[in-house]
Formats: sequence, C-alpha cells, structure tokens
Amino acid sequence: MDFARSDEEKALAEALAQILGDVCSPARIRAWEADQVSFDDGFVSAVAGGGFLEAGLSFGDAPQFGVLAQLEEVAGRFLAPQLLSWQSAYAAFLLGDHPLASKVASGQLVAPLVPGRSELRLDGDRLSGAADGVPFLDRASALLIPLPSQLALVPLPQQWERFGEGAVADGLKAELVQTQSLVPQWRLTFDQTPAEVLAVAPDRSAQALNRLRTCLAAWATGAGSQAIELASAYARERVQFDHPIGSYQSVQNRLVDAAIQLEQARMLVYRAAALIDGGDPAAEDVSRLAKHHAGKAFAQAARGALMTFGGYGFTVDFDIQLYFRQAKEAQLSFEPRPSWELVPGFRS
Amino acid sequence: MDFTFTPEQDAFRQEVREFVAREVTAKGRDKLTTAEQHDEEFYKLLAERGWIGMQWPREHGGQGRSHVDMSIFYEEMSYANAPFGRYTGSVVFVGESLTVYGSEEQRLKYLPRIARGEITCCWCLSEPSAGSDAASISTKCEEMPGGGWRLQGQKIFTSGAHRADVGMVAARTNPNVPKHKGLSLFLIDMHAPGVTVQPLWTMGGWHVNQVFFDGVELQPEALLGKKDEGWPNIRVTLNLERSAIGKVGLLMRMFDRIRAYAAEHDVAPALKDRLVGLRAEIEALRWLSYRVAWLQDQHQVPDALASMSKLRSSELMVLISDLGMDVIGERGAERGPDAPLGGEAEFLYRNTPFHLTGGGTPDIQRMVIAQRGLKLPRD
Repeated sequence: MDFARSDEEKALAEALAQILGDVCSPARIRAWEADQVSFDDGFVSAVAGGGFLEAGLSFGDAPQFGVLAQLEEVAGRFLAPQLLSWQSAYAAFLLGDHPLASKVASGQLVAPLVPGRSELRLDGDRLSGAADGVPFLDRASALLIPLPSQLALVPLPQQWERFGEGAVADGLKAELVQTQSLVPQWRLTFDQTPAEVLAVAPDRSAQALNRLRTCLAAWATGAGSQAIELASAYARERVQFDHPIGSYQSVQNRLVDAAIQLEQARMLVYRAAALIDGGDPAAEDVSRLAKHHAGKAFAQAARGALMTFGGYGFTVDFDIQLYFRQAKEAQLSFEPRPSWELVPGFRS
Repeated sequence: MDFTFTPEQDAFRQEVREFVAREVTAKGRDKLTTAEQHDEEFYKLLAERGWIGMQWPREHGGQGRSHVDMSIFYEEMSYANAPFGRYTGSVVFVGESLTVYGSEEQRLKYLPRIARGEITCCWCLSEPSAGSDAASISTKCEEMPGGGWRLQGQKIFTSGAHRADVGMVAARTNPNVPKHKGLSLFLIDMHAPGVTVQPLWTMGGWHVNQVFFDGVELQPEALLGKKDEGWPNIRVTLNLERSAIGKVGLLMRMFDRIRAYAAEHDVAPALKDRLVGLRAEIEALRWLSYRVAWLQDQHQVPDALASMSKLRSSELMVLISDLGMDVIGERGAERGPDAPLGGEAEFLYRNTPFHLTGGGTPDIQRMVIAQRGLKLPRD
C-alpha cells in the first residue's frame, strides 16, 4: 500500500500543468467558446508534442493507467478539452500496433462518439442512425464509432462546413448543438454512410469504457478541486464586515463539504485506475462509481465555489462561471447515473 | 498509488474474518445495545491473539504491526458488528497517545497490560462547559508542596469510565496563561479515592458517564507529557480518535444488508437509487481511511483528511440508517433483533447523534478542514 505520488509522476503532472498554463488559459478558453471551436492548433500540438497523447496510447497495454488519470486530473484543473480521456479510451479499443494508433497518438485522429448516446446500425459497410453529444468534430479527420464487437471508421474530408446544419461527408449530416458547456457538441445523422469496419477483441470494449469513465472522473475531480481553490483564494482576500469572508463558517462549510466530496472522488478515481492497471474485473464497478461520484462532486464544488464569489460569480468577468457551466455537463455526459442493480454489495 | 495489501495483510484479514465468523455470536451482538457494549469473554479472545494494541512494539506488548494492519482488523470487527466497546478508549485514545507522547516508563507500565486485556482505559476530556471548545476545561490539577498532584473537577461524556481502570485526564495546571497553554495530561487510577463515576443515559440504550474528581491525589509520575504543554498532545489524541476506520466497516455491513433486503422485497425504485450514491461514498471512505492509516505509518499527522473521514462517515451513518428504515417501510421503526434487518437500521438511526458528535461535532470537523485543509482564515 502506498498513497504517495512518485517524483516522476509529480514531474510529469507539473510539465503538463506548465503546458496547459500557456495553451489553455481562461482567455484561450473564452476565445474558443466565442469562436465555437473545440480547441486550436496550439493546444493539440502542445499536448501531442509533449507526448501526453502518446503516453495515453501506450498505457493501453502498459500498467500505468494511474499516471494518465493523474494527468487528466491536471487537465481538469485547467478545464482543458478532455483529449486524454477520449484518446486513451479509443486507443484501448485498438491493438497497440494498429495503423490508426499512431494517428490517435499524434492527435491527427480526434473524433470520439459518446458511447450510449447513439443509435446506430451497421448494414454491411453502411451506417445508419443518429448520435448525440459528439465533441471535437471540428478537429476530426475521422469518426471512430464503437459498436458491440466492432469499431467503425468514417473518414471526414479535410474541409467542410463545420458549423450549422449540412452534409459533412457522404451520407453524414452534422448539426451544432448549443449547450451550457464550454465545448461545442454535434448531433450526427447517418444515412447509409460508408464506413470501414474494424474488428475489436471482445474484452477491448469493456476496457475502453473503464478507461473512459475513470479518466472523465479524474478530469471532473481536478476541475472541481480547482474551483474550490479559486474560491478559497478569493475567500481569503475578500473582506466584508471587517473580516475575510473565509473566516465565516457559512462560507467555510460550503467549501469544506465540497472538498470532502472531491477527496472521495479522488480515492475512487485512483482505486479504479489501480484496478485497471491490475487487470482486475472489479474495475468496471469502481470506474462506474468513480464517474458517478466525481460528476456529482464537481457540480457541488462548482456551485459552492461560485456562491463564494457572491454576485461577481454570476458575471462572465470571473473565471468561476466557466467551471460552473462545465460542471453539469461533465456530470451528465456518459452514464450519469448507474442503475442500482449494476452496483454490487461489498461482500454479497 | 498502490492500493494493494501485502500477502501477509491479506492473510491477516482472512484470519480475523474467520475468527469473527466463529466467535461473534448473536448473544454477543446483543451486548452492543446494553450499557456495556462490550463482551468480556470476546475481549479476552482478542487479547489471547495479541490483537489488542497489535501496532505497538513487542516490548510494549504489541506485535509490531502497522496502522494499516490495525485498520484491517477494525474494519473486519466492525463489519461483523463485534462487541468490543472498550477497545477504542483503551487502544486508540490512551494506548496510542502513550506511544506518541508518553514516557518509556509509562509505556512499559500500561501498554502491556492493555494489550493483555488486564486493564481498560477512558479518555476524560469534555466538561459541562468545555465541549467543542476543549481548551476551556476548568478541571484543575495543583502541584503539591511535597510532590505529586491534587485533581479537582468534573468531566462529562466519558465513554467506558464505569469499567475503566485507567483514565487519561486533561486538566488545567496554570490558570494564569492563555487557555491553550497551562493544560496538562495525567494518567489516573479510576478506582482511587475521590473518583466518582455516574451514568449519563443516552437514547441509544446505553450510557456514557460523568466523572467527578474530588481532591484525587496523584503521584508525580502521573503527569503525561510536559507540564502546561498538554494542548498539542490533546490535539494528537483527537486526531487519533478521528482516524479510526471502525465506522466504515459498519457502513459496509449496513449497505450489504440493506441492498440484499431491497433486492428481495417490493421497494420503490427511488429508494433503491439512493443505494448508488451511498455505495460510491462508502467505497471512497474506505480507501480514504486506509490512506489516513498509511500516512500515520509514515509518521504524518493528516488532521484534515482524518476529519474528512470522520465527518463524512458519521454523516453516512445518518443517510444509510435513514435509507434502511425507509426501505423497510412501516415496520422500519421497530426495535430489537426480531425487527426487519435485525433492528440494526433502527438502532443505528437512534445512535447517529453519538457517531456525529463523538470525537468532535460536525462543526468542529468542518472547522479543522477549513483551517488546516483549505487554509481559510480563523478570523
């Protein structure tokens, strides 16, 4: 048993934080939102160039998924697009030596479809149906679509009308959907869309979903923790009634309760990651709990943090509103609430 | 992070689990609802196996085990709902405190006897006018001209004092300095002349105690730690108290029992859905508690994390007992072993004020987390 982070892990997390501080500042996030783009070239090249996407891919088979979860927790602090989550999950669908793997690692192939938010059927090599909540479409060179025992690849043209309604490929329409979150999402309609069908090993799908849940949970934990730190810093500085507002218990308690939930989420994330690394089948249960709890914890933290800022929190001038708007989306995306029947007892 | 237990720890868990399956009887569990909350025969069996104070060095009567080992033991015992009510006061409050700030003579005098189950101990801190503000205690201990001390005052909410042989008493030794200074700790004989214990009955069906000290004479060596410098040590003991993992084992037990009941009965889906969040939180707290124990093994004092663990686990006691009674429905408030779920949800619900306030109220835990965890200002 060892709950400490190694010096190597700390250095890696610090390196990512430095990169994100440059390429994913609140000003850049605001600019992306204004332009309705998922992120810019600077972001993806910095993250991919730093080897972080590649690291995520190699973790598909290497027993270091816990490190990737740490990195995604750092990314969450910056509200960085959840590239590590998606790339790691989709890399896990693929075998390590698959030709597409290098494209995923380099960030050339960025196009996740949210599992569970699509109703697609495959007739031969043609896809039909609809998919919801698709992020990063504007950065995509292809769509990777998880099916029960297969992965469908739909290439996208280099240039297409990315925003608004319209056909983006043969038999594929995309509609930009406005949401509360910072990241644009698309609704896709497939009508006999040509696709390349890749065989996927039966256990790959479960592994990929475990990774996705855990990474998204790590991201939410990091984002929530940063929201609490922003609020705590403000509460130490802001003076009302001649005292810093952070000295008032009504302010403290709101932040404390959220911090406890986040610490619990952190334990679930790293427990799930350890189970994934160990190839333990319990990873499915714990990753599900982690995703569920971390989403709730982030939402509670974002609201509690925002309230610390009083009326200022409601204005777009303060960064805390970025966290608040992202939190609910993070909670609701991908398996927001598992059925109680999927949640096992401890010993029964 | 490495969440794995060593093969030795896995074997130890299995040994404890088999032991409680064999030795914790329904009759023994019934004692949890009495004034004793303790089964003497069962406690002797623990002592025979060396499990009382197992984390202490061998020369002090222990087995040189880790705090993580102790947490494994605690989890298994509480999952089995074992009647060992005097363990916490003796081992965690007094015994562990001795290992941190007792003299070697005091360790050798008390720890082996605690480990053998020959004596049990109680922690005398709270007073009628000094509850959450523990540093405001007014019990006095005066240094006598010829050496030794004289103890005068009153304590309250003292668990296990009616059976304890040794009391660890916080008293004011210097009234002329700020309240956090001038405090000292003493180890006293609870059977000594001048010590009176009176029950203070709770709605849990068992009692805590009031303890009166009327001119109790103490030898010089009764002083624990340095004179007038007791407050930091009191904080150490409070931290030890808060880091106990016992509540998580009980939460796990309750969850499994309620889940099984819900699966077999016609229970509203909305109630079943409440199981999901509880399962996630209990799983998280289990590992948070092991993390606290592991940090203690690294000689750290994780006070904010310990308070988080203590606070949230006691709050989950409220939520899970409430859910248990809701799931049972109209018979949910029935008491006793013949009630649904063996009456355990009802009993826990009735005892939640104890879990919430024992070791410091939720308000105090939040204050600790705010100031030491989030670094928010005191004023």
